Amino acid sequence: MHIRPRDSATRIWALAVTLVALVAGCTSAPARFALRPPLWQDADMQHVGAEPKIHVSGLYADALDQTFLRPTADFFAFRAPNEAQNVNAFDEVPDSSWFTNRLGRHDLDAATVAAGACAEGPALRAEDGPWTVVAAKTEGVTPGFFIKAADGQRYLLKVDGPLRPERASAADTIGSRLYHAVGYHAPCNTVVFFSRDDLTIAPDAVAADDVGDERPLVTEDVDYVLDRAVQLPDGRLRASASRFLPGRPLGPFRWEGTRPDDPNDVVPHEERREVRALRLMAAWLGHFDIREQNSLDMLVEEEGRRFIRHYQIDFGDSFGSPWADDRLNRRIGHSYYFDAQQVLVDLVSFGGVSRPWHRSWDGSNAGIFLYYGTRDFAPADWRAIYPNPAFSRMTELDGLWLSRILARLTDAHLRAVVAEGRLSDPRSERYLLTTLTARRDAIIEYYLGRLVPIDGIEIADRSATADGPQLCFDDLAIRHTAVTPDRVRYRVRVMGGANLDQRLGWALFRPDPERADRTCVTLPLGAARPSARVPVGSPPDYPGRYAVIEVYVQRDAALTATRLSVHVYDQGPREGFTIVGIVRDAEPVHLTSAFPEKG
Amino acid sequence: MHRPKTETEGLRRLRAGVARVATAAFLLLLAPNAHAAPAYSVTSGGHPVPAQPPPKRAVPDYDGRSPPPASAAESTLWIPRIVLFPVHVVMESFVRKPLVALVTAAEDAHVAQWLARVFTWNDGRAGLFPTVFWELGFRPSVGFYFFYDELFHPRHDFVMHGGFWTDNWQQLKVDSRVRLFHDGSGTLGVSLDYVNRPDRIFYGIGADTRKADRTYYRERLFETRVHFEGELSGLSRLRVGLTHRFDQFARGQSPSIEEKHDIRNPREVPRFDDFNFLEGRIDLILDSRGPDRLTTSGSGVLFQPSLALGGDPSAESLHWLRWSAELAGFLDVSGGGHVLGLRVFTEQVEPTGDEDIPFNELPSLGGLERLRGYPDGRFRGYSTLTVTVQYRYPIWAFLDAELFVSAGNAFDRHLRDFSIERLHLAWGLAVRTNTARSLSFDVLLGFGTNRLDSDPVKVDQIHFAIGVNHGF
Repeated sequence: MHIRPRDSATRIWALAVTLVALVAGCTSAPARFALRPPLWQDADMQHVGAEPKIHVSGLYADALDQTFLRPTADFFAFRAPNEAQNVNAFDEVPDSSWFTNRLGRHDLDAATVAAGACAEGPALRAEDGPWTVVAAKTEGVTPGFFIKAADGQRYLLKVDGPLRPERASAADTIGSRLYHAVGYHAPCNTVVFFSRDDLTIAPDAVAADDVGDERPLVTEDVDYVLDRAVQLPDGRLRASASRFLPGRPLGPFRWEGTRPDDPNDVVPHEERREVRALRLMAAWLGHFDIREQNSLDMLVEEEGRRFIRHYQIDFGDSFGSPWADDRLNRRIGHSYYFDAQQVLVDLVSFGGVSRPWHRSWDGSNAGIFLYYGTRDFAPADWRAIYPNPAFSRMTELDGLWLSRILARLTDAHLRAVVAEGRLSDPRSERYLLTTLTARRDAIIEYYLGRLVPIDGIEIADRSATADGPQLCFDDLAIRHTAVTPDRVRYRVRVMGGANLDQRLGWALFRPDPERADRTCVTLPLGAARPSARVPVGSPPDYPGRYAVIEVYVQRDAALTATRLSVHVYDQGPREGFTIVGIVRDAEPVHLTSAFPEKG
Repeated sequence: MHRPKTETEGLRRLRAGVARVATAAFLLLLAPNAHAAPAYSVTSGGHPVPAQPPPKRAVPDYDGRSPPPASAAESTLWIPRIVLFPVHVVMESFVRKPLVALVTAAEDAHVAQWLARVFTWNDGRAGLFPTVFWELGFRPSVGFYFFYDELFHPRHDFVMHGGFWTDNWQQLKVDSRVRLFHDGSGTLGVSLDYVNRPDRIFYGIGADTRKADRTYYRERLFETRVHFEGELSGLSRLRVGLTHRFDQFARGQSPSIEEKHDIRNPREVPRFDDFNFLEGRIDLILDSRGPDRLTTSGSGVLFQPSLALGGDPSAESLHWLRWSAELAGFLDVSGGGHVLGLRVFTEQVEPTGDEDIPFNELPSLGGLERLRGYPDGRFRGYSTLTVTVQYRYPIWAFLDAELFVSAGNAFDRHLRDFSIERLHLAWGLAVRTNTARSLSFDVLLGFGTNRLDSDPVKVDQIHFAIGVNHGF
């Protein structure tokens, strides 16, 4: 097991596990998958009978906990790093109340990706009728208020503020669309333009002061917010509108443990792959403020079932949200707000460790997206505002999973999403698109360039043909030009037998120059196939039908290769092979021991 | 902007909030087995909910594979896991959970906002904060820092910093200043200082003082100062001040100055007596780095000369000339705030009348600025000299660390008896907040040696200080 943990405690225990493993040795036959379809739908949207309680999350309490208390307690818990629990047989994450496979399993056009969650409801347009202000927004750094549109739909309206205008509203909109496209539950956030006359104040509208005292909301409150909005030359104002999520809010979700009052919530959140991998999403967008308060549990009712759905909300800090102090701006993404580990290392090393924030930053072409760039962007080392228990446990395979989804997000998708930011300066839009694309490519290259880049595995032509069935797969590294085809060699071997240690056949070949990113290899390899060795009439899940097709991806004649194992049941020449499991290795294997064949 | 309907109502809410926080903490402390529950703390309106959680569904078999057997490595991990379990339980149940619940309840009750209302006013332009300071070898102090920006006038700022401790230890500093010029780059102000403390230290005068000569005296000081400070250009500042001081000395804590020194002998302790004086002083700061260290390069040259003329207005023959100069060079070796510095500083005082200068007015070394391995006032003489090599580097956005090595001592007039062998060495590490020039939080650990002509040369002083202090 090779895991790259993110916090110091887990890193220390990971090292201990590795050392002990080296001493003890660890070889065993691969575990077999059951003959069944992969689990694509987690049944965690069952009816919740009891009324769940609202979780009150403290802004400073969570920061204190995650920065100091939880890491200290965790250190003594001796939790060794491990792979995520909610991964199906195909090394994917099933749909659930946390995640819906969108780009990961479906081809979505650019318009669909750009629409995000907004495709699921009405659009907010000023010309459709007045917007009624029902309450002032009292939390967070961005001023705003809650409005009710003419159709009764409620929204949270936020303005940009004077510092780097348009950035926050564009970030909120673009961030929500990208999170949605990847598969996370996110609200419909959109940039809107309106005039002061489009707003009316509800008679019972209220505002609360800093200690929670409520009072009637007055025109001056609305003016206070609107005075901070970006104004267009035609006098209209710009803001971001976040459509209210369906259901009843239950407060943020925690990044660890489970909700005691949610019977569906059985996998600790820090053990969920999609929750761990949110770290990579946040790294991509520079969404450093991805903390507990920017998540939301909603009690929703669908088809007579009432259950809790988990959302990511508020992406307005993405793309270089500025702090008042420039010394913090330079550290964002590279360091926690208070990074005890870095402070200690810098203290005892007398500042000898080179840090990204020591170097000057030329943001002359970044405009409103200052400090959101590609220089020093290291996906695996990115840090949010403070430590996160799920992010700390993200493994290479979690990162690889998300990078496979990001690899399906094309430049056309990104162009369409960035256009939803409605930026007035084409240079800003161009910079943002270029940076988003480059950071996505950096993530893809980091994971798919080092780990197995294979995806889209399927058995084609299952019925017997002249050529027989084929195992086909995509090479995402080649598709994304992270590597050129001439550098790649594939080695495939089929393993069978009681311990899956008998080599039944092998092949060595290069990508097809005609279509280098998609490769098919005809099965069976070698003279014998597993089904030929089993008794006549044996059941479909007879152990002897089991085989593992190992695909090694070798680059530049290196002595190591990345490996993907496709577990199959061989149902015979007529029924063909059934894929029951896909396993990716989290680190390269040595070819000399794993694949002794010359070639 | 919008205060509660009445202050009485506000206080009632504050009390309710504090009571809620205390209740939450009490309940959690009574439930040490809380660690067995998931880390999720579900609350409603800040109150813990003793809910009976509904039964959970079974964990799905996500991949259809039986879990792999525990490897030898993973099994081995159970040993430290069991050994460390009690520590984990204590951290989780008695530290983490109560603290998080406490802070959450405090936030839910808006305690911080209420405290801000209590301790700050006028949209944050005025405020009151507690302070604490402790320096090894001296009395600690607790106190307050009060500020009121734009008091009476948009350009007038007011600051008061007080501290006290047992044994009749008090200190109060008041500063009132008006910002001048269109950009506020100049200030004109009045400062008042009152000090009454029994732990002023005295080791003797000159280069031959020993650690064993340490004594204490009480000082009562009333000082009034009128001062002007302004920018001359982008890299220069000028300070001009006129100070009136009334000083009284008395027996301090043990061992007091009378126990080891003859306070009636002016050669040993000049003028251990009450006195008044007036001093006019002018400082010129020529710093190529610019006035604001936070926004300018760390490389540059500093030259800071000062000249002061002082004396007792009622005594015709008691007056003196004091001057000092510092020459320093700084090199930002990384461009990111890793600054190597070399500083040479000397201060001299010259009697211009017939009478001895009061011992307390002689230049001194030690403390948090000069020869930092020693306590404040460790060396006194008619002249002082220090050479410091320092390396300052950032360790956090708001914290700098500094390594320093200094050599220095106090000498007779005009450094007459100076020799390298008579220097003391001091080195150490200081960590300081860098957010404001006027106020910083300092932690300093310094070491000082006996003189270089000693055999052997060894560390004979440890200097530790922690607390709120004036800035760099």
